[in-house]
Amino acid sequence: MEEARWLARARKGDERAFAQLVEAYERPVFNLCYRMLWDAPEAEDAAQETFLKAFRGLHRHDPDRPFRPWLLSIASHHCIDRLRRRRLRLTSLEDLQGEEVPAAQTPGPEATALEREQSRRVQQMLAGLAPKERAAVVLRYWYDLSYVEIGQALALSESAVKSRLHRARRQLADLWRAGDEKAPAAGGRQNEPSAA
Amino acid sequence: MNLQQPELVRQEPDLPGWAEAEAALQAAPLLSPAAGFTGRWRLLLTAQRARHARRQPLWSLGLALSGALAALAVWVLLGPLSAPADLAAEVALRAAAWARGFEIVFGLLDAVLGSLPLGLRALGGLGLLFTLGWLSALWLASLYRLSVQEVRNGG
Repeated sequence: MEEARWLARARKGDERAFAQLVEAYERPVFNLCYRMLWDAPEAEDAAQETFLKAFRGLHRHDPDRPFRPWLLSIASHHCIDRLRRRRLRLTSLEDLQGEEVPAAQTPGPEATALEREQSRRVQQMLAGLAPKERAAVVLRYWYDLSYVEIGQALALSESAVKSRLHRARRQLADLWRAGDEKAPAAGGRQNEPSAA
Repeated sequence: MNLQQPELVRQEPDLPGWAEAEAALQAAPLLSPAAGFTGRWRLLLTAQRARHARRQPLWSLGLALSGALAALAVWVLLGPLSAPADLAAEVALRAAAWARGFEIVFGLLDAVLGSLPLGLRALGGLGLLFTLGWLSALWLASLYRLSVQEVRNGG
């Protein structure tokens, strides 16, 4: 298989071989970062750093295991760390200024306003979850990972994954209902990337 | 994206709003980064390697100096506390004196250590051995970590 060959060459330090893997996985990694961070430039940074970490740590990847969950695990942890740092940063900013950090809005190229609104609601729902729960939901819904795989990716037991997903679903349902009750607010939080 | 997650629906049948929320999640697309992502990654890798190449000698020097200073501190601090005669160090000294192939190095060591009192001499021998071993290990570890491993894995 092509991927196994790229991996074998990349393990020997072949940058071009790893670049093939970057090209193959840029979309899932970026999507995960965006779903976690809800900010396109930050998601780009996080995705780039994920690939750098993966390249440097490739010797730690077990060749008998699939590459994608391992890569997504790196991306998840990286985004969780970023969210924690962001929370600290925002808290200190709020402490200093006593007001919310303003949100930017840049219209994306998605086809219709309805799709944009739907996309915004999905992101708003995800943003209401704790970082690890958010990661679990994204890995489950966008990448079809099993509970065991999610557990491996997030360093959780299978039962912990189930309980976190259960809690997340309750929260998501609450958030959805809360969104229904409010009039659709204008303006997404951050720059929206394309759904190519 | 996973479109078939019936077990999730089964698990939360009576949760108002969940079906709609789940449908929205399932309908959300896989988003793409801006074009040229791989090219930007390669540029970032190159920049990181250059940065690493600039820092690597400083790291090695810093590590070596700190190791030498630490060894020196151990020698200075523990010297007066040691037992007056250390048999192992004495044997090492004699073996050093007998080693013909290293006459110059060991001659120098012998001269330096010979000028010290017996207790300090014994400790000095041990201290030198310890320092050399420590520095060698430190150098090897730092060179492997910063030069071999990092270069092999992309800087």
